[in-house]
Amino acid sequence: VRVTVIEAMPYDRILASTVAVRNSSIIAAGGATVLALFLAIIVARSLSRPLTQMAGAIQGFARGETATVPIVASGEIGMLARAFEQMRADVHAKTAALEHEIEERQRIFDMSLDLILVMDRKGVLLRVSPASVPILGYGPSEMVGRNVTEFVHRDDLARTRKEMRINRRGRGQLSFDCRYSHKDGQAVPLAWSGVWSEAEKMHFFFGHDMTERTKLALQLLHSQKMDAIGQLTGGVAHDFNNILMVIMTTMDILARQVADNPQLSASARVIQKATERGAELTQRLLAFARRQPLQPRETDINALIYETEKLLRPLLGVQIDIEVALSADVWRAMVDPNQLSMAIINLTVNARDAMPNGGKLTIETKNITLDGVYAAMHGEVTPGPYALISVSDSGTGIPAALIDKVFEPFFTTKGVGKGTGLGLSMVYGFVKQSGGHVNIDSKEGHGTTVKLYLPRASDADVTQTAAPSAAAAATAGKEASLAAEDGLLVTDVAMRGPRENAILPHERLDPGVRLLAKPYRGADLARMGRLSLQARGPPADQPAARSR
Amino acid sequence: MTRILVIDDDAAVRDAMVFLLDVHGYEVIAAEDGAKGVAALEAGPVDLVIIDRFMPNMNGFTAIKEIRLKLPQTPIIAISGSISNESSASEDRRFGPAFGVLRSLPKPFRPEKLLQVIEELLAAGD
Repeated sequence: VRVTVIEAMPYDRILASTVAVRNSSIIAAGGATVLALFLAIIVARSLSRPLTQMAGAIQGFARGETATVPIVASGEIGMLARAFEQMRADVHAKTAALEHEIEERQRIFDMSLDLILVMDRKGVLLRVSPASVPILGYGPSEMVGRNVTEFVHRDDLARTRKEMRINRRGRGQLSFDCRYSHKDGQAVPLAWSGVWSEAEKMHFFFGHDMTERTKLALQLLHSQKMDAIGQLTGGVAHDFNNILMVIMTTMDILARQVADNPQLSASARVIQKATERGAELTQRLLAFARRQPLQPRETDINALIYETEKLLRPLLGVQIDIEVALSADVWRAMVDPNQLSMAIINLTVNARDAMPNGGKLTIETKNITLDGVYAAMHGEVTPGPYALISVSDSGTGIPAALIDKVFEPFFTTKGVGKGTGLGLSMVYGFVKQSGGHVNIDSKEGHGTTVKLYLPRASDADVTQTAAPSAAAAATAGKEASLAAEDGLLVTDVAMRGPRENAILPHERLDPGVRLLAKPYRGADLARMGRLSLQARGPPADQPAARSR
Repeated sequence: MTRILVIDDDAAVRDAMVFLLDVHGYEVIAAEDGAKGVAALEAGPVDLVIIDRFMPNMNGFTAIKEIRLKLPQTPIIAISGSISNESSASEDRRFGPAFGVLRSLPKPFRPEKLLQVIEELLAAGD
């Protein structure tokens, strides 16, 4: 039996559970979707934040910022971030080191006393160190962009081009000397070293200013040359002196023997004259060679110039004025007064010949202390106190090219037969032998100044004081005059004292002698007895009175 | 007869002076250096000494001091040629009255100058 039971139920009821399932599924799916979205957002965020931070850090790094990246991520991104941070720190350290090095190099570039030039293959200057200002007178900005050949001394241009070519062929570092032209036109000697960078296509040149060194080398060479000439001259003059002595002495004997033969007598006189000329010559040569016997004494140079000036006036003629500017407190110098007088006369004769159309001669004295710097710049100078005499003229001056030669014996700018060429060399030798220093300063067309630096007399020096000069002594009588002529007033007169025991108190001296004796110190006064007998003595207002 | 001692290291100069003085009637003793000159005084005193300042083997400076010990009053003529070097210059500076040089003559000098000085010094000493 088939029983069929049909139960009717509302459709809604039938579907109700299905709907419920569907609804709950939708809700579940919705929730799951929301959850998934939520989770996705969280995951995405956790993943992208470190990446964003990294991106920001990379951008900041690119901008040159130095702040470190806070690393919060772990895993692969964290590893990436840490690697990046490591790289950033490395790059930062290297950049800092590089900057430091660049700064150091810039400092070297800026501070270098040597001139540094960077130029391209054609010689166009790309960089110029600031040393260009003291060395060449141009600022770097004046030089950059111009071709280096514009600054090279004309005479050295071909050589510089050649050195640059050799340089580019890559034969290592080059060294060569080459002169550049200073802004004021003077040639500047520079010692160069250079390299060519093939990678940079640039020349790098370093130039050391040799001006001072060249000057010192020339000075040394000059003083060595003067020494060599001096030794040669002195040696010849010494031997020649003795030979002349023999000829003069024996000629005298022969001349007496032939006195009654006019022809032979005349011949003898010619020989005698010639030997006298020879004698004068050897004396001058010995003076230059610093081998003349000197009698240095403590000398009042003002008094000496005052007296010498009287001899100068007739020498100079009417067209030349003399101005004498003596410093009242000038130190006493330790020199041979007679030779000093001769030196001033020699300088005056030169000054006169330099002023054929008249002019002015100036003689000045002053105290000067030469320091180590001056001594280093001028060969053969001992630093210390000097009494300075300068003799200046307003004459033709000496060309710069000849100035180094003027002290050499037989050098003269005067016409043939007009000068011996020994005047200045005698002055030079005399002052050098006296422990002093000579300097000549001349500008063509603007006159010449010769400066004699005479060693200051110290208490340690021999206590004899200067004899009155020839002019003063001449007024004191024949004896004194003769003695002064020989440069022996003190020696000669003083030595007569002990022999005669003429130790006279000052008040017992003849008034004239008292005046003459004024320049002497007390101890020497005693020895002047002999002179008191012979000297007529100058009137009270005569030069001797003013010689101190 | 007036005796003169000539001390000079240059033989030709010495001979010439001896010849000259001999011709003019002086008795001359010659020595070639300071030491020999001083030794020559042992033979007897002289009236005048002519000495070169710069000589080897006892220079004029030392010799004059030695001569002064033996002959305190005798006039001395010092002949000054060229000095040999610069150290001699400072020595030359000490050549003063204390050493009794009565007269210095720079070399070369005219013979009559020497004769004149000799006469003057001898006359002054009489």
